[in-house]
Amino acid sequence: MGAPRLALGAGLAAIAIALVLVLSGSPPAVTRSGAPLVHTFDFGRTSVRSTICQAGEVLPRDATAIRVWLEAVIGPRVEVDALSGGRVITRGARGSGWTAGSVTIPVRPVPRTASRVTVCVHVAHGREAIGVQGVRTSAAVAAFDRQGPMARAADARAPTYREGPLPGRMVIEYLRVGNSSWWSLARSVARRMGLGHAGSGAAIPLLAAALMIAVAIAMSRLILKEIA
Amino acid sequence: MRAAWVCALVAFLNATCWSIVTPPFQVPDEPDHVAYVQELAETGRLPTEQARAEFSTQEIYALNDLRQGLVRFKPQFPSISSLSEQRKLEHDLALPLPRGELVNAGLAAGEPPLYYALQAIPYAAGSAGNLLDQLQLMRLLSALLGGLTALFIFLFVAEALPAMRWAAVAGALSVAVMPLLGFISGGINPESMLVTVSAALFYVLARAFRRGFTPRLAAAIGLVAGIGILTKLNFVGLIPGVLLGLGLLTLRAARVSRRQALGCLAIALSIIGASILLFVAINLAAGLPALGGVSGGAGSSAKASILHELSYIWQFYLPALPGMRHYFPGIVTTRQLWFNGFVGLYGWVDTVFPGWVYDLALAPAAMLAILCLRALARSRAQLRDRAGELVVYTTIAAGLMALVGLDSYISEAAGAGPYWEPRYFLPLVPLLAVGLALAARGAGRRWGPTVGTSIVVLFFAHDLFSQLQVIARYYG
Repeated sequence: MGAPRLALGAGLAAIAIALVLVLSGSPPAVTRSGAPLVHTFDFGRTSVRSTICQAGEVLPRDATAIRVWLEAVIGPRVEVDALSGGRVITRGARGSGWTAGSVTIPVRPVPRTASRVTVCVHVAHGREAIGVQGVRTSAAVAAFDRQGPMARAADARAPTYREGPLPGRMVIEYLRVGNSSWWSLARSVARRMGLGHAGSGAAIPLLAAALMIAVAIAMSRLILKEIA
Repeated sequence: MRAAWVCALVAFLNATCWSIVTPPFQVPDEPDHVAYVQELAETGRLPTEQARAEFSTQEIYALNDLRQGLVRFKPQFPSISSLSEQRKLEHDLALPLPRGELVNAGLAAGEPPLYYALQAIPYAAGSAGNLLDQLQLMRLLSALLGGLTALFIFLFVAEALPAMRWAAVAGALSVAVMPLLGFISGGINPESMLVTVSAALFYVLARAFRRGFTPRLAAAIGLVAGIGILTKLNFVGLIPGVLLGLGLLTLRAARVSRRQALGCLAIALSIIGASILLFVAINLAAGLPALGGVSGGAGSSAKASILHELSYIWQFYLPALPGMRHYFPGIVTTRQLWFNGFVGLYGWVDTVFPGWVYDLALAPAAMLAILCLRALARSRAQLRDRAGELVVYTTIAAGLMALVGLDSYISEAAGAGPYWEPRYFLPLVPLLAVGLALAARGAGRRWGPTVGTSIVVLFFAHDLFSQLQVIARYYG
């Protein structure tokens, strides 16, 4: 057997093994503490470096990441500290360049669930105003901007915060490794794939699988004929 | 030629898979492009900026029922997941809702109409079903264009690197399973056709440089460029390279027959000119600015300082030089925007891999770059002989990069966000295919086919796991 044939066989076998390993893993389970998420509001945008702290959080055991609903096109560096009794119990950072309506920051898992945690989000000075999403609450339980009065508000569309409470609580979510593997969730994922498309039911995931198998076969045959 | 068709089949099947995996309206700007097609198909009119509504009532119902506004940009929200949501969607799509209203089609307004006119065919063919059936048929047409793209890329690589056919297969097949190409070719976006046109353009130019500037090839270059002008405004970025290519081909051909060379140039330029006139005529007839979206961009650019524009465009791709005002503080654009974006950025720039994947991808990318450079170093003499052709390809690439950078600058100056999506550079994917073929050749005669096979398998794995990431994001 020639080396290209071996490379093809080994490559496809490696893909199959990686596929089994990935699907044996679990999607992250998401938990959220604080106010119930009925309607979220855009609290506005912070255009300078800021630190927003939110008390009354519950940090679940084994949380591997914290997701904060910040919005950016090209997001700046974001750091989070989780404090309990004035002591940092975990922290993490996410470099600049993230995009979309939330930022996920990996953190070191804590051994047991901690309540009455204050989560502080430090947003570095970036090239654009960062949106903050949250739920409206009373000032007593709202997130608190510790940055102080902001001298510059160059962009009229980008209201900046003063030191004091935000209009409510930021949405903060905690991601931990879930209990169910992708295999066990396969039926539910397949059912969802059938929703909101042309056609419906189990045909879509089966068709997708058949198409990718056809791609693999056509690709392999061409490699064997023309390259190997 | 059979290998070229197999590459086309692979790309078509792959794009078709992407078209059913990605939820409707979760390809960037797809709602706007669907609105354009609907307006054209239902009324025969082009979208007009004067219209207040962005979409038809029917499309608004579909977008709302699919929670499109909530899901896009926000990876924390999956696609619809309950039967009650599905039933409401089906109920609303069955209503006799208006769909031929005056709309502006958002970002799609001002784009040339050719792609949308073609998409009106599957839209009409699916009129017995609901809007989602029509959307899926339209996506299939884009997937067909994806197949054509792979066909032309194969022909281009085989023409550009004629000595080793297996390397051409490796390069073209890798690109046929490239996830970004599959994602865009699986959605409704004129970019899918722009990539096809660009691949055809590279092919006809390479053929003319290798086989001589004949009237037939001159007509082909003119026709392809004309189609590009009528497909998407971004084709403007490729035009300087096309004109340079025509100039160099004419000079070369003039050594044999000056008259025939000038005749060929006249053929190509007259077809390009005719397509520009057609574009202008269509716009004027529709009551739009003569050059469509180009008019607004040119006006905005004229107001800006050229030094600022150049500095911004430089930093859009490369680290700032000393003395430059920093437009992207704290961000290494080359790595964080472009490299990471090519490795994995799907949906409305909201579907990404875990961070370690981007770090891991640096290793194979570096190896491929080294192998490619090795192959180029070995072919120094041939490169010198083909310097003119290489300058043309470089000019095409530089023109598109400058255009996208300038668009982004104008957008930011107007208070909107930057245009930094890697999909804008898909028209340059034929050059990537050549680079991959060169990387396989760079491994030497003995190991080249093995490395070529490994590159294809690597791209296939990338594609497969990209689709899984999309599935996890929307349906997990």
